[in-house]
Amino acid sequence: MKNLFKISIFSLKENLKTKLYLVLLLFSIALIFIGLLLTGLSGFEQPQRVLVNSGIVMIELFCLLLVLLNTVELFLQDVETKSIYIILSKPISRTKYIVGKYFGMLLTIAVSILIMSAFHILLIKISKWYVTKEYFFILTTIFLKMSIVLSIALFGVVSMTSRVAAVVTSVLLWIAGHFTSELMFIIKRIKVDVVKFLLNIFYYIIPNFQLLNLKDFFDSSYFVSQFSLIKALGYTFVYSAIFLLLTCSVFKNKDL
Amino acid sequence: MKVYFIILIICLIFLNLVIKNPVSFYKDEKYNIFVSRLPLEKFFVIDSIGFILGLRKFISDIAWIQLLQYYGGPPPERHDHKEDIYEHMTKIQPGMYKKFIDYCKRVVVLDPLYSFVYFYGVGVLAWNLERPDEALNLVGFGLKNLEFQKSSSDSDYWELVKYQQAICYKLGGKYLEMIDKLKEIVEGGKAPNMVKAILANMYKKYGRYEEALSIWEELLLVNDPEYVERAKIQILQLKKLIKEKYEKNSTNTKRNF
Repeated sequence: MKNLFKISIFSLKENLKTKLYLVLLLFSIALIFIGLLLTGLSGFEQPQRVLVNSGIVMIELFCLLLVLLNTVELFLQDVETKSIYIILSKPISRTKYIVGKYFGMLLTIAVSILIMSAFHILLIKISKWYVTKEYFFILTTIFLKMSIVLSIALFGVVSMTSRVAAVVTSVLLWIAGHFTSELMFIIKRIKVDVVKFLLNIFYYIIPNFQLLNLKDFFDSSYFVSQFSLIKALGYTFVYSAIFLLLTCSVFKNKDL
Repeated sequence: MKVYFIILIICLIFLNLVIKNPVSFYKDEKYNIFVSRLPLEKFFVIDSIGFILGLRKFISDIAWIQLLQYYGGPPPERHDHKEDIYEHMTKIQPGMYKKFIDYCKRVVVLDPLYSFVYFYGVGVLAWNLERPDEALNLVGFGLKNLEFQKSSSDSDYWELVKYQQAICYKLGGKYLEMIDKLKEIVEGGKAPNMVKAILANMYKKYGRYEEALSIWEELLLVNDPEYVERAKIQILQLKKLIKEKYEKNSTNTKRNF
């Protein structure tokens, strides 16, 4: 447990030190402020909505980029620079290494969300508007989404050992995961049984990001009341655990 | 390696079968992109990004800004661009901004819960652009999308019903009833400033200067840059009209004596 904690903290520090992280963070904060420009264009009566939505989107997209680029890059960098051997030569199992990396990255995401949301809330407060409790629910769901994408990206990079393949797989699953309702609509109307069966399998494999996409209907108390944070947490935990377990199994048998 | 993938697929299918999608919002087919369809082809790429990346609300904000830019600019149907760009706010323009309803529908296809767009769009179509049939079409679209709010009496659903009633009165030529309905809408507190200005103009037209004045004073206090100048002018005019009205009344009373 102690080793796992150490690896996580080491991974967090490693992530925070990368130039890519700093550039992305600064860029996203700049974009959050640029949201103010959009509010100027959105007319007199709707600026708060635009400022809140644009900030949330910037936070989510930055986290996605961070997960995709940093996870893949840092893992492959470890392999390519052979620094992975230094870590694995110590009494640390490969499973702990992977799980430690995963938690380290999760911590990085949490820190990033905190930093960006602090700037965002500051901007909202400067504009003399307010933040509702749903805002914090949205930040939680963004974190949960990232936990799933991270487990997929990690699985991709460990099993395929290719930057492009890992990033492309994760992005495609991100897209498909947000397209689940539309996919079901198509499935219901397909008349060829084989295609219907295959698409059904695909539908049930892909992560259901719409389940966690609270940002698209947070202003409706009716739909927010239908949202269950416990179910969302459970789904994320199980989905990420499955991918993480498989990543560990693949990594255990991998020739480095 | 193959074994891992098989295990992975089985686990994921099992998980998704158990959990499915408890959030029933976009599960409802009426919100589906293939049912509603995107009304403006030229924005297909940006709108699709909203769907495939789960950014419907954000893209609907972009669409809202584009709607304002479309309606705020000179009518595309005209080719001389020398006219006052605020003309559309003061003059009725039937036949202008033909794609206005498509712009409105685009926003609410992306975010069906964006009630303000229904209110604004219906107001513009029914009273500024004199196309009540299109306004009713947009109302119908909104009522379908906000049907889940039916049980709550102060919901946006019932607010839209008031707009529908006002338009029906307009179509039936019952202008006084229409004004009463618009008054109810404005007093509800959810009306866009544009609808308030429409009501103030109606009051002025029917000689209810005091009520028109109070709306313009309220608009001036709100400080909406689109209406500040107009409010100042209207307030001066209305005060003058009220004065004339009282003078006329007092002259009539003296004559009767």
